[in-house]
Amino acid sequence: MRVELPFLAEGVEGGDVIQLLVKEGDHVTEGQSLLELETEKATVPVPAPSAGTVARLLVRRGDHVKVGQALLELDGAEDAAQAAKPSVLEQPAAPPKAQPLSTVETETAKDLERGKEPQAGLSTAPSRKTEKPAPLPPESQSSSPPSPRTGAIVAAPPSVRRLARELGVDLTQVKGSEAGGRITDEDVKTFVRDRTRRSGQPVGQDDKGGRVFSTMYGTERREALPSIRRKIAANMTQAWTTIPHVHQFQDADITDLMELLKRYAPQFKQKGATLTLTSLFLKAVAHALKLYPQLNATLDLTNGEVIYKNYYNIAVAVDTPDGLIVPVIHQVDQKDLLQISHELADLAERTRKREIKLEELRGATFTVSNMGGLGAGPFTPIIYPPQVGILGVGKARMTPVYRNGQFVPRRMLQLCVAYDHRLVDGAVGARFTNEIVKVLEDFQAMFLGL
Amino acid sequence: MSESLYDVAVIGAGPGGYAAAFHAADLGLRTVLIDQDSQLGGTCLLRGCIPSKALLHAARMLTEAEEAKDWGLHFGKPRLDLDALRSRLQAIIGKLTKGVHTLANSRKVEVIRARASFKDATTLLLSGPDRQGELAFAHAIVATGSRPVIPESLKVDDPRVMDSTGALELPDVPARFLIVGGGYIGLELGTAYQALGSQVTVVEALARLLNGIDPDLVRPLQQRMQRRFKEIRLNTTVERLDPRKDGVAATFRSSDGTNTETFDRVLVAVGRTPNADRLGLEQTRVKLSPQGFIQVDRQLRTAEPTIFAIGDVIGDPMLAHKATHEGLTAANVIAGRRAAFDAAAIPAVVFTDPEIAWCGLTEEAAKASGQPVQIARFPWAASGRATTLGRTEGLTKLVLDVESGRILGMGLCGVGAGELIAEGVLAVEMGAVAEDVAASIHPHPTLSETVMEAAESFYGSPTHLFISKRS
Repeated sequence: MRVELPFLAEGVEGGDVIQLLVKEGDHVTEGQSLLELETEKATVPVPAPSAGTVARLLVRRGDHVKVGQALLELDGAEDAAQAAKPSVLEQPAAPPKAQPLSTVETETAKDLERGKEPQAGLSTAPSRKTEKPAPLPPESQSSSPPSPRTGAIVAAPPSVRRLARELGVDLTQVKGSEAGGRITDEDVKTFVRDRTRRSGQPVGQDDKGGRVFSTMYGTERREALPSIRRKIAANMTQAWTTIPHVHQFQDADITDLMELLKRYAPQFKQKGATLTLTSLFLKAVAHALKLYPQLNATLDLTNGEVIYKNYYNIAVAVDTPDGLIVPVIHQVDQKDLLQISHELADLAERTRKREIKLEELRGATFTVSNMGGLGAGPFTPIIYPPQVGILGVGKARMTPVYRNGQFVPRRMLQLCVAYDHRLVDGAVGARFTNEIVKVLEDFQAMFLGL
Repeated sequence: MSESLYDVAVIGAGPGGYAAAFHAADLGLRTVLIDQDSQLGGTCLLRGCIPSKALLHAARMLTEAEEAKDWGLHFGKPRLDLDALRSRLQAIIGKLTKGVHTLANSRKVEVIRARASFKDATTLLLSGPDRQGELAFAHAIVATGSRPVIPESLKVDDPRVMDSTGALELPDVPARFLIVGGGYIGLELGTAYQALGSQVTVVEALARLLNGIDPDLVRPLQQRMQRRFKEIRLNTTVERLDPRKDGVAATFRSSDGTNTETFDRVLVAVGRTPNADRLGLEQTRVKLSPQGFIQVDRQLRTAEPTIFAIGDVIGDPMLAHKATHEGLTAANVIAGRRAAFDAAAIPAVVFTDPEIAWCGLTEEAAKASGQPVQIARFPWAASGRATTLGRTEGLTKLVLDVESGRILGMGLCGVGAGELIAEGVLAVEMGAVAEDVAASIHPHPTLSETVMEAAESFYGSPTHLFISKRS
């Protein structure tokens, strides 16, 4: 049977193979890890769906694989549905002596690069020689399931589809320049040129593993964008271009809160937990979300619905050496501060080590990003879709506050709540922000249910 | 040991097989074309498309002569010389099949008249007047087509119960003619026989004629047939056929119960089955689907790497032009070209009167898959050309992508629909948007203008039709 990359988590379309844990000929048991995959969110092992012998590995270390892509072939696996598949796809056992076509294809591509038209007939070799069976064209060698007919899905004339086939271009990856997204021969050639340029000739390699290129302005280093960075880029672009953000600022006087923190921190410590401002923010946010359900919702424009969530799962932004990762504390409203503090420390630790599980990265309804630890000032956070709100906090500062006819030193924290204006109006956003401030300033009120 | 080695052995000389053989030869491959029939051309030329279309042409002349009275033109009652008509059909077939022979010779494709079956993945066993024994090949292309199938319950050993092959031999013009099956074969032959003078009864088990075609395209045809045929019985099955002296008694069953009627002849046209049996495929690794079709990949390669298959024998739609295109692709693949069968639209034509033609995505298929599409229709009642022909019952429609206006499919019902559909195929294959078709000047006055005006209606009102914005 063919083992394919299973569905991992919503939003996770694939990842980079960082380690192969089996080799061809290995016998594996059901559930045994076959390889390790670095996804945008976490490093995950891919288990064997059933026991068997690894007949053929179809991916290599460093490959980017997508959900549904074949990873390896497992012999002797018991899977009725898979076993019933016709062996159409398998390589012929003996008769046709396959002569690779790939060199010819590459040459055609190169010709194109030099501006020459690809020579028709170059790859056909029609002659008396053809007494042996024709070579298996690369298409049937590499690609596995009979792929769907491209014509039906991609808007490209037959001549362009042939060109793409000859140049090994997947037309679904090409952006069409004409009306209705129609792909022209020029689009395909541009795609190939870009691809070639991307994989161009580096003049050297540096110690960080990047490739060094020389340009008219000086040297440049290029390195592959890691999976996690690609995902962040895609998410941020989507968030910033589709969500009309409103950034609502408000100051919170957390002098009393800090007193509380100081007073009870030792008792938390005795129980093995660290009481931090972030845990208090989580509690305050969960409280405010209950009062303003629009902020704990998702917009479903396709069906014209608002989805109100009856659970309060709050994500916390964690800075890791690889980039931003946002683990989730589930059901914050049902947990006490001790529990939250425990979980928060554990999650942050495992996130930094990239040992976080996928299920700990899913299902968030709101996000808190605390950059106070970095000494940062106020900032405008970006909403993480499909959520509709995020709280960003910087470092609190001792500030002179005019109160009762005099300036008093108070510890002030500048909050910024970003909300999706498609769903949340200014008044609601402001009240929500004020509610968080109220809780932080007067936490007893929350206890009293006010 | 077998004698000589061929690069390509093509089994079956229908429009798929001979196209594959010719192209293989053009690509420099040593090619042999094997068919058990004395004439080349397969079902299409000998007992399918060509004779039926010739017969339908004759029928059309009769119908037009009859309808001429509306134009003030009066002909006498036509006299039918069946022998002359038969020999005319034979002459047409003869001319075309001779053309195929000539083309084969000029391309140096060796033609062997024999029955072929596989001994193994590189050897055929031949038996026929031209050749007995083994033939070794590097590649084979199976293009053995399909044959009409008659269900067990209707198998009657009586010449008055025929399949499409029998009906095309034109034994006589039965007064009372029963057609079992409301698919395209039944309706085309029904149209021909009705024009020749038969009283035609069509019986269809399903609730509609021409299942799979959008109902709005079928409607104009069905209305006309309802006027011209004796009866169209839907939701009705034929339980049994009893040959009697005065005719064949057919027992019908429908929700109203059962009844029996007697007919002079019966055509059973309920489907076709692939000729994948008795080919010795079990000696190879070739795999069949549960329906008996040979399974191939996009390069038309079977599970046996040396054997390819094309045409009816690999599955629906069973159409000559699909087989031809597959034949060319298989030859290209064998010659080492990076070819694949990736047509976006395979046109289909029902040569009834009026004709129905369509290609690409149908409205029903879009609906079934949930794909949002916009339909642009242009009724022929608004076409000047259709009016001059006195045939305004037609309809032209486009299936368009809602967002981009890209043409995903086209459907037509009307006289000459089969000739008009090619524009739709080109539009779909080229990824044209409605604007491309609307902005291409179509000649006036022609039926092709209906395609342009349908495309115009994607944006608003076409010139010859006012569509209220508030609808």
